[in-house]
Amino acid sequence: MSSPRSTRHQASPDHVVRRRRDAALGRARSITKTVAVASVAAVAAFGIYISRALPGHAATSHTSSGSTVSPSDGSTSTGNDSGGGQSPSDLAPPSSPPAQSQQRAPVVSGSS
Amino acid sequence: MVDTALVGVGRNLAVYRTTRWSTSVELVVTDPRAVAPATAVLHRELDRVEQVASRFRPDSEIVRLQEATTRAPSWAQPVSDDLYEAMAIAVRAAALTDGAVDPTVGSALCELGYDRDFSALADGVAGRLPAARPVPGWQTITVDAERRAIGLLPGTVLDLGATAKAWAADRASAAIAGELDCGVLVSLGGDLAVHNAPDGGFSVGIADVCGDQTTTVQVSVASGGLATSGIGRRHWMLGRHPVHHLVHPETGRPVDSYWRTVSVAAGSCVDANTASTASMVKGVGAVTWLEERSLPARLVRTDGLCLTAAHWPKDAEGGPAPQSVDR
Repeated sequence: MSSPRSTRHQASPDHVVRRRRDAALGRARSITKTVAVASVAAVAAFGIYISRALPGHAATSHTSSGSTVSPSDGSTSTGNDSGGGQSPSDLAPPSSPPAQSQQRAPVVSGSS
Repeated sequence: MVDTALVGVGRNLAVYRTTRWSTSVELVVTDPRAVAPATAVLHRELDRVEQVASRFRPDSEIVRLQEATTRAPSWAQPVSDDLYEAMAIAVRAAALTDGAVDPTVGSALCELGYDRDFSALADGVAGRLPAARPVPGWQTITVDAERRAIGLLPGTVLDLGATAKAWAADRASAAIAGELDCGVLVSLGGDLAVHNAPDGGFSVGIADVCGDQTTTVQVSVASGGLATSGIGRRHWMLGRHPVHHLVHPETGRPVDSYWRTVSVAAGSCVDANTASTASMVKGVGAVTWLEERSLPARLVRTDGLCLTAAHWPKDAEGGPAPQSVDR
């Protein structure tokens, strides 16, 4: 049920102005929200790009010899024939340690 | 290339020797008929590594990368697969040694006079010991895996000496074994890589240089790599100061070494040389560091005391002296 007074109120110029104001504020809020979301997305994308491009950072990949390189944490596993079973982020021990030898040595390590 | 010789050792081994990069190059194969083709493969691989990673060749790719970075700083420059791999190995070595083996020590070495081939340092160089300051640091290197690109801070001078020579030994050894199907040992200045070793492995002398005296012990190596780092050979005079090639990344000055010689065996020559060089830099903490990584090692202190780590064998007594190396 509506009273004559409320009918007059809805039709008043003030009400029209308020409705227009509210509509304008709604549009402004929508635009602000869009700009904020776009800004956050842009910052995130730029951050991802920077994380890959700045010195000292890089993505993981495979080298031509089959090594896995993760310079971001510095881990690599070379494609050698070691049997040490170490994780790629370790220096690989030999499959067997050097043994004593009485044989004539054709090469010397450490002499040059 | 000078001083090239083919030397037979035993009935089933053949040895080829030469000199490159101011150091000895030795190739041992288990099939004497394979010496000639193996030698060709060896030099092909050494040529390639030199073309990519030598800081003494103005036309090498690494020097051109440094020049391009200085001329036009950018995020990263695309490089060949070989230089990318060399840099990735160097960065990995730095990361796995907490920066003890740092490829950005090039400027520090140049300031110490090591800006030319080592053979040119025999008479010493003029100059004074530079002030202590840290090198740029391996963390400043960009390794862009997607673009196969490398980025440097302008002015960075790289020295891949701790990894590139060992990488060359690994490459050459693997290529010879793969292409010629024989047992092979490649030694570049004593950093050696082994593939398809005969029963009992290859016998290798381990040298400890102290002044004019060199003592050696023998071990056999069946796989992977072995490297020895020390301050006994690569040293020279900078003005009145004796200096050597092992630079501490935190000071840019030669390591005040606790060890005279460190020999390490590992799954590859790169890993062996990375560990031996790092041990020289780490000093007294190296034994524990090596033990934790199960890397067999023989360490000789500057006072001559010998220690071993991770199942390195005791020195054999009364073994024959290793064959002398002509240089």
